[in-house]
Amino acid sequence: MPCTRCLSRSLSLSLSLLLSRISFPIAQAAFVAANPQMTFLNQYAPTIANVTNEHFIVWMRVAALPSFRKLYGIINTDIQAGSPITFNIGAAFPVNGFSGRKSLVLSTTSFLGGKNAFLGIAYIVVGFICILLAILFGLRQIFGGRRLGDTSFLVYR
Amino acid sequence: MFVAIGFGLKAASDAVVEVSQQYDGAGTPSSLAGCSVATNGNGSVTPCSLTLTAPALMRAPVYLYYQLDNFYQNHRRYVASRSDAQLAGAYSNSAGDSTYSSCSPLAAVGANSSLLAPCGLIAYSVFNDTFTTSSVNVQETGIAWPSDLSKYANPSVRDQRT
Repeated sequence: MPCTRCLSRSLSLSLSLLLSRISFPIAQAAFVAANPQMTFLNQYAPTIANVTNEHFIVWMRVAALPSFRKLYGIINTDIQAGSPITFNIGAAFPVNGFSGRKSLVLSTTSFLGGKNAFLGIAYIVVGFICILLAILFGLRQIFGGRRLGDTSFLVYR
Repeated sequence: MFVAIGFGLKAASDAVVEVSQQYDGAGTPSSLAGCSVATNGNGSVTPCSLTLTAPALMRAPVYLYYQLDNFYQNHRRYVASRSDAQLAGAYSNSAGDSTYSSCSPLAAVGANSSLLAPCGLIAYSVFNDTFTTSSVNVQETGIAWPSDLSKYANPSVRDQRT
């Protein structure tokens, strides 16, 4: 027996699927007018269309320290030494209210990450201290160290 | 041994080529004074331009970052002020809904208490400076953690109808 309701059901299914795939900004524009009680992301941050914008996602991953960098973009070409790159900035984020500072940074990476000499210097310093102590104890041993197994220092009650 | 490793690590760090330029805040050079954003600017965009010169050959991939100083994203109440359900696509237009409770202290703004979508201090204070350049091609995708990408979605149209 042929399925009589199948056609209409599949039609309504595909219609609802189509509706759910309509991108948010388009539907939102129509919806905002109908719903003034909500303020959407691209209303309070016009440069960001919706929550799937990667800049927004990067920002939502909160930084651990008060001075931080967040990735804005990747340049997949080499930049020659001395070549100037001019950026047009659309500055909208106010930092003077909390005595903050904004900077733009271009950086390459090494196998360890960004530029941070701290670990290298820490290892060097500790290494030198070890060498120093090694020499110190070596000298101590040569000039008046006691023999291994020397019993003269043992004190019995 | 430590010394050898130390020199190796320092050499790796020194191999990184980095150039940065401050463009707002105390200590900004006067040539970039036009980039300053007024505290009560009402979200208006101040256009300005900035030039970075590579001090040495920078091999691809070169990363473009913006740096903020003195911004405590790690403040206890700031970190908690977000609604992960809403960011994942949940939609609600009633203030008492549980999606808005985790956004305190900022779930709604304005004289009419207009609900924020997405709500919360972190989302509301999103960094909205834009950087464009015609000298090189800057790829603005693939910058977020892949594990983060799956946690963000827009609400479906059908949800908004209810």
